[in-house]
Amino acid sequence: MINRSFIAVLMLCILFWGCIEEISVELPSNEIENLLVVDGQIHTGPGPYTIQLKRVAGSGLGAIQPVEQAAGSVFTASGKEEALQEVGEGLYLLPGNTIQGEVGETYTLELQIGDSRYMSKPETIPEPVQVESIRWQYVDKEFFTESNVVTTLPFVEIYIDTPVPEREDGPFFRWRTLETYSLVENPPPPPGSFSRTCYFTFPTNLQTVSIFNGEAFSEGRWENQWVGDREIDWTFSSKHVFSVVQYTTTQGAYTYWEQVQRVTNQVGSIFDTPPAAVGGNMSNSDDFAELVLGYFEAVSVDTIRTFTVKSDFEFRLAQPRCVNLGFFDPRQPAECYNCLLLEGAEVDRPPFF
Amino acid sequence: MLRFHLSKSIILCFIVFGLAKSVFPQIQTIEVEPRNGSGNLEQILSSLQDEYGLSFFYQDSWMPQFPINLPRDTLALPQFLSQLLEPLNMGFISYDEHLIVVAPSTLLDQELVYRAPVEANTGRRINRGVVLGDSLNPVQGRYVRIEGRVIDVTNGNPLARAQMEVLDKEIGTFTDERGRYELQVPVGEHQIAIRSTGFAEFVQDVVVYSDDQWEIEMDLTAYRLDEVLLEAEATDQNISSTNVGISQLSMNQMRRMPAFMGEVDVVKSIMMLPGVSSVGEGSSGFNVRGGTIDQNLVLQDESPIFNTSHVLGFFSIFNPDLVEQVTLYKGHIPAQFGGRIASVLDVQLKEGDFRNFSGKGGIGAVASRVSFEGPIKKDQTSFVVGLRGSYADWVLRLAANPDVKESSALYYDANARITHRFNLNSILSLSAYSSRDHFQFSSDYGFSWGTQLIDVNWRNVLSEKLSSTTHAAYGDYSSKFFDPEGQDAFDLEGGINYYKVKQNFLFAPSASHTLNFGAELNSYDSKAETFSARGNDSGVAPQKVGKEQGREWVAYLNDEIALGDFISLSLGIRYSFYQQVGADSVFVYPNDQPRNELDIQDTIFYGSGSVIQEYSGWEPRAALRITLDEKSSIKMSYNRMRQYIHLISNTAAATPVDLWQVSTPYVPPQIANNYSIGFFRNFRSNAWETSLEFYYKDIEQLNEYKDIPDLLLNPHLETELLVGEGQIYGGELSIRKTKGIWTGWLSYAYARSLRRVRGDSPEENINEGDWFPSNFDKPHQINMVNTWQLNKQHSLSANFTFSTGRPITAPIADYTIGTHVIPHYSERNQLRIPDYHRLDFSYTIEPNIIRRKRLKNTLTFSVYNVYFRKNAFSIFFQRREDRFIPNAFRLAVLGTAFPSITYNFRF
Repeated sequence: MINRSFIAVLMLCILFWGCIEEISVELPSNEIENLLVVDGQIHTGPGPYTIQLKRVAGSGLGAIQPVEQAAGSVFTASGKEEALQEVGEGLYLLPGNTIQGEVGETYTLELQIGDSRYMSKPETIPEPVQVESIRWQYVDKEFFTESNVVTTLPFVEIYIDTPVPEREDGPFFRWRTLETYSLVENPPPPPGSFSRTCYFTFPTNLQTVSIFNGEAFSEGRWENQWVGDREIDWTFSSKHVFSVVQYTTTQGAYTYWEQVQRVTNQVGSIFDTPPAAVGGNMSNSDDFAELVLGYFEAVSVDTIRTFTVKSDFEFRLAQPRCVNLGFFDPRQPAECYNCLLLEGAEVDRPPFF
Repeated sequence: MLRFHLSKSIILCFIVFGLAKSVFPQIQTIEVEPRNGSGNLEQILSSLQDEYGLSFFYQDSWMPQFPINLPRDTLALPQFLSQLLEPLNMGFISYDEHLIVVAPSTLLDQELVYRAPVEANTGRRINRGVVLGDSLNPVQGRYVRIEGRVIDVTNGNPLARAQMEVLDKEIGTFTDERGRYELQVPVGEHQIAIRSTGFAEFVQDVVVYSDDQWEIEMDLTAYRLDEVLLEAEATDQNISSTNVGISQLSMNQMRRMPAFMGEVDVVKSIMMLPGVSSVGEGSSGFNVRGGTIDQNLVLQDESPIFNTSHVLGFFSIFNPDLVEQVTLYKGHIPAQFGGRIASVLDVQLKEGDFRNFSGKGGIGAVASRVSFEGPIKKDQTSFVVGLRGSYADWVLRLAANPDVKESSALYYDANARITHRFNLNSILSLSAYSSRDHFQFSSDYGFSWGTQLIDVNWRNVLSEKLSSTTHAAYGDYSSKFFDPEGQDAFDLEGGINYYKVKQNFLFAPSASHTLNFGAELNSYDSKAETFSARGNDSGVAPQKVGKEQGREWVAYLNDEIALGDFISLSLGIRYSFYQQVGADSVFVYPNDQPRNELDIQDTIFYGSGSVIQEYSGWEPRAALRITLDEKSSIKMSYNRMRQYIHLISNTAAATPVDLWQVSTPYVPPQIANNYSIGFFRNFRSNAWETSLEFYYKDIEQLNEYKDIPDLLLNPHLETELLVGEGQIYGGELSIRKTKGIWTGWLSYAYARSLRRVRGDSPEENINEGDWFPSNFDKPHQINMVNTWQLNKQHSLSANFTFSTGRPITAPIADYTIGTHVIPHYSERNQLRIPDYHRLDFSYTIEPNIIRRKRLKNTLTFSVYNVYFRKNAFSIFFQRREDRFIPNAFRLAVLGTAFPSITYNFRF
């Protein structure tokens, strides 16, 4: 909350006097060692739970390599333990047969990678807090184009209200917003043949970290929390569902995500906190100096949804992606006749859609 | 040889009864050839009688017995006699073409006395005819003591550190802080030059008979007529003083420098001095030789200032119309100053005029100012008041962006001072200062901050050799960060209160030996951080994090002595004793592991006033000047300094909400050892000054921060801090031209500022315990300041500055957690932003500079950043939604040229 102010201050300078230009910078040439990245979560939903293990050695996708043949398990303070199963490149599952996410239970992840043993700090799933309400609103947003001209684009913004119960610690929230929409194929020739509907689910605002610290809040209800936005385009020409997942998380995880928020929101100003590597809650039991990235998180989950329909934006909708002319039109994109060509397409209708 | 002896009554007869008449035309035809040698007056008159058949009438007792220099040119007799007699405060009347009466001027009818034509002004003021001592009883066989004060004739204020030089002798001195001086000179005729920053060189012919007092009035308006110089110091002071690493700027110099938006600015001006820099355009404060901004002690009339910035650092808080002089100590710091380890910026404000009412002001694009001064009771009590305010919001309204349109950047500052002279030896002044800033970005966020200050200063001359200055000040710095609207609207308030009492004695047993000694108490009371709801709709929970209090007692002694003509020494010792006092609670952490709030073992509560922690130590200071010849000297200094109050700020530039933290058990004092050596040489009668200085500083117990620390509203602040060490070294080359139509300087500074934090655990290390560059490490800096005084009314200035880009931390890898792409950053400060350079111009017109005009106007046109340099305010890295690898972006805050016009006036 406080850091955003400095960004705002900087924005004043930028918008009025300044200019931002992309430049070429020679980054430090010293190569980093293969740093272990742990991305795992156990939550109050049903298992299995996923844990991804990677190593990173530079910039770019090619610098990320999955960690294979790792052994590991999750154990609880109550004495349960369950082993991880490797199911893909760097992807491990905790089946959830023995261990499930339970409020108040404490979980620890243990990994054996080569000769190194890694342990997480214990994480206890906090009491869940259910989101009270969700809504969307239409806004016209102004942007500066590259030629420094102001342009307006239509957007949907998603807001939630949530109770903030009094607790000794927190509550600490993190939100993640997903959108789900569909595309109905044009019927392929001959006319009248079967056409499919594809469903697409993606997170919105990929780089935005939305978090909240209830310790700094005394009212019992937190209102108008912005959790995401989406430009209105062809995907709004039919039902468009927004699912907001509210994670009630631990103080440690909140601190981690706050640090992630700071380093990803860097604008490089002299009012920025100088960035640094963000360490998580994993460490090498034999070498505490080794930096391990990522976090093994234990959270309780609540999801709330809202949706829009075509008539909500009739006046602002752009051209639909596919137009059913009743006959095959080769000028239309290929996905209009095979929606599975689009990334993320699923033909199974989500239960909430 | 004829000798005529006249009595006073005879002369009076000549005058009163009209017996005398001037017949200068007759004797004008007599031309006196130049002659060799010298003699006393009686001998010279006798030889004239013999050569030209004249008859001189005088009394023997009027005739000085010391040798008198003869005019070297062929002159008409009246001019010859005038040049001969005026310095002796004597005159003559010619009765006829042969009879000439010579007598003290006071006895002659002034209308009949011949006066030589006024010499054309040659750039220095030469006054004739000051007679010191009793001409009837001249001293024999010893030097004569002349003492008095040098004052500004326009307002009667004493001029400190004015240089006095007896031109025909190797004798000189400086005035002390009260403008007082003492000179030992032989009986006879002399020319004494007086030089003071901001005034033209002033040369006075004097005839000295015996001990006397002489109050010297220097005329600022004379300076304005004749001045074509930009002098940082009195001529040749850079050679003769013991100070190494000291710079002075007068407001006249600053006014001619090009300024951003035309606002003359003390802090921005000193950044053109070698070794002074900032982290970026529009950043708060300044960095001296690689130090942090809190390592600079900023004094406004001896009262510490905790935030020098308006508009987050685009302007500084000092009203230029009220500033008398600015002195920056960055090398040798005398023992009477302390409490910071990098520098002292001593800003002296003027006292009100004791004789005349006057005013000054200026109208600029974003701010205006006005000040008045004058006597409340003539020659006894004076006042000066000044007010400055901004109206920058109209500029913001021009912006296209609606958020900027609704933003605000306002400030004001006000000064007031009353000075009362009980007598010449006792002066009391009472000053008050208030400033406030309000900065708001749309309806989103904002800051407000301000300083309130009140101080009393009593200067007392206790004896001929001992004087006292008592200073007491109370200050309040408050800051607020706010979110004005919504359910999370809040105010976060903080700041610091302090009071200071200082007693200084100045003992000057001789002109070449002065002792400063005294004691000082500083009390710091950091305000609790208070987080509260703003407005009725806000639901934020109030929080309060208490802050600490500290007291700093100091005793000091500084001895400046000249050991002959070639060596002078400044030896000082300062002892500081610091206590952190309650009420407060101190968390106890395990000794063998990094401090973490989860590991707190105990909490110790201390009652109000009880001592929590003590620190103390000696701070020796020494400076040595060895004069090689009259044009060159070598100086060296050693200073040890301790600092008990720290600005907790983990941003490259300070913000108004940064915390002022006194030393605690977990925040030890910063301690620095500073070594300097310099070679100084002047050329062409001090018209060119050159210097080469080297310095090295080691710093113990430097504050550093863990990665991504949480500093605000943190009751366990010590868990975010680390203690390290610093190493600063460099050299500065300066070439300065002080006289002529073109003046200015060129300086190059090489400066490194490195830090190292080595703890017992990885968490307590930075960059694995290796040395790394600080945020203020800018190895190369070039400054060029030029002023051309085209004529008396027009001047042109051009400044150029270059510096290496500051270090930043850059991403070297990316990884994903869920859908988030997270940059992984390098070790601290391993990359640099591009180099900074900028050229500014200003053109000043003073259309009615004629001295006797009541209203004087100045119009300054300036262009900041002439060649549209897009200097990098910062480099940052952002990943586009469609790309994995982040892109580097350069942000230029002032990426274009900024023309401005400022109108200044005084009356």
